[in-house]
Amino acid sequence: MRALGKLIVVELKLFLRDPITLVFTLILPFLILIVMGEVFGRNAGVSEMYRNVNAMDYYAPAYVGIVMAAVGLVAIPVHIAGYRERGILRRLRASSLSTMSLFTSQLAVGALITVVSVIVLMLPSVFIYHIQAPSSLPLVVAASVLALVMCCSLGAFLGFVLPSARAAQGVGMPLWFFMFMLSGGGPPRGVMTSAMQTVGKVMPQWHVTDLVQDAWLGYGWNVVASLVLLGFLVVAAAITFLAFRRE
Amino acid sequence: MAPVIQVRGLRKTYGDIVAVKDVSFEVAEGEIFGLLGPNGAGKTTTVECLQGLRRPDAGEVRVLGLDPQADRQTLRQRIGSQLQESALPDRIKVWEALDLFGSFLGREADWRTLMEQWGLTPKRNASFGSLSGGQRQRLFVALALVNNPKLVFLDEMTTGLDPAARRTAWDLVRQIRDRGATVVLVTHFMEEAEQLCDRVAVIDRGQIVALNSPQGLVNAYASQIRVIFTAPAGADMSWLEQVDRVKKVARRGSRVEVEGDGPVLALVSAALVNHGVTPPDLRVEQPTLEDVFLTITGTSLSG
Repeated sequence: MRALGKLIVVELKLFLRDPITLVFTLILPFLILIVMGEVFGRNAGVSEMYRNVNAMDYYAPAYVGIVMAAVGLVAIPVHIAGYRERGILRRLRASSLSTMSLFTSQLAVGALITVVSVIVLMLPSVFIYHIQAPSSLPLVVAASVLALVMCCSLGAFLGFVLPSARAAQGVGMPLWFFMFMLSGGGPPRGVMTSAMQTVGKVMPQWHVTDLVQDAWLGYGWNVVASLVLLGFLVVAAAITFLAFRRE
Repeated sequence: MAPVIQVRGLRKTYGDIVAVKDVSFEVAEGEIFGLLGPNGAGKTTTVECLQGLRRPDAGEVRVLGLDPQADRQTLRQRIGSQLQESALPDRIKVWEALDLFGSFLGREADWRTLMEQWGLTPKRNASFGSLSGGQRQRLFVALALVNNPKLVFLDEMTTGLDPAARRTAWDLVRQIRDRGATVVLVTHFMEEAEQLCDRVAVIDRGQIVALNSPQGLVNAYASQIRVIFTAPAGADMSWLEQVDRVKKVARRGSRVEVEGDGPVLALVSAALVNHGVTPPDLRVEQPTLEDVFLTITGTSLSG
């Protein structure tokens, strides 16, 4: 336990010292939220395009998912691929550190960063754009936990199948932008063409948005979305495990 | 006393490639044991099987009385490893790395003393990425020692170091042994093996082709001594071939190379004086492990 605690602290420090992960997990989501808020959030009034709520009521839950996507698609893949590429993983495995500790620390750091970033997002959402409170906080938390674990296992999967940190960056960043634009976090789903919607639905982020937004806006637990995310989680974790064994 | 390492019939293949064909050896407590061979000979694979990082296809391996596969966790707490081509995250600080690796043991590790001993205290707040090659290597060795291991594996520890840093590293290895640990040293530097090792296993194409002390290997496989001096280009030196113990005389311009064994230097010197030849540059080249390697494998290590 002591080792795990130290590992989490060190990994957290490394996370905070890496400008790329900081930009993607903390700064970009915040800037995007402010831009969207300034453009659409000031014109109060519900819209059918935004599921019959205000624009920022629609966007704020979606951005919780965007933060987790940044953790899972950018931060973790680049970190893990770099560890593998440079022999850091080998060095850690040669010590008496357990495999579980290694994965647990990544998940813990991902969770901590998400919590901090979501708090940062909520400040302008609440005090400037006056969004509505979650209709069910426990459901929002449960949805976020499932989405976060899925994102982290997706990140570990990318980190293990891509050959280098550079490759992870090259794949993870565009994927993040792509998912962000097509999940409902950019243009609302109501204005997307059916082709955009079809592509969006194939990607996990669409279902993360569904799950968190539904819980937030009072539509309850989205069973389909949660099962899709569970599927992504299991497949990514299984492939990661096999790749780790082979490493 | 039971050997620290026992290996019998170790074999490891990657697909069609046989990395380790059939390797057997023992390492006694307190030894500096060298695994010497060219890149791709199977040295690192052998060591990785001992560390429990790879599962052997066949053979029996005991390290500190443990099975590296079955008792992996216990074993890793008792051994120290410096791996070839490994690294730390660029942004981790020296003290953080020592503190972290020290915590894996589950009890308080005295990493501050180690940091002092290995001259890392002035760099304690420096990030790994900013360290020089020599400083990184010292940090790796310190990390390998942080759990106070009985057995330390050092894989190519001086690759990439300049000659001065290499000599410092050699002193450090001797210090590790003097503290009571057994050392397994993997290297492709002849001189390193010669300087440090009590015994050396020469590995070539997945097999141990010779195993002895460095001097023992030289005596057994490379007894040829070369005596070299200059003489006027035209001077008749054919009488040298009659001198006892001389095997061969070669001339390249004014340079004369006499090959022989045993007391050939003394005999050639006496003969030279008797013939009134007193070259000011008379010198002798003793055979090295390099020559041993050449004799055994037919290929040069450094070439």
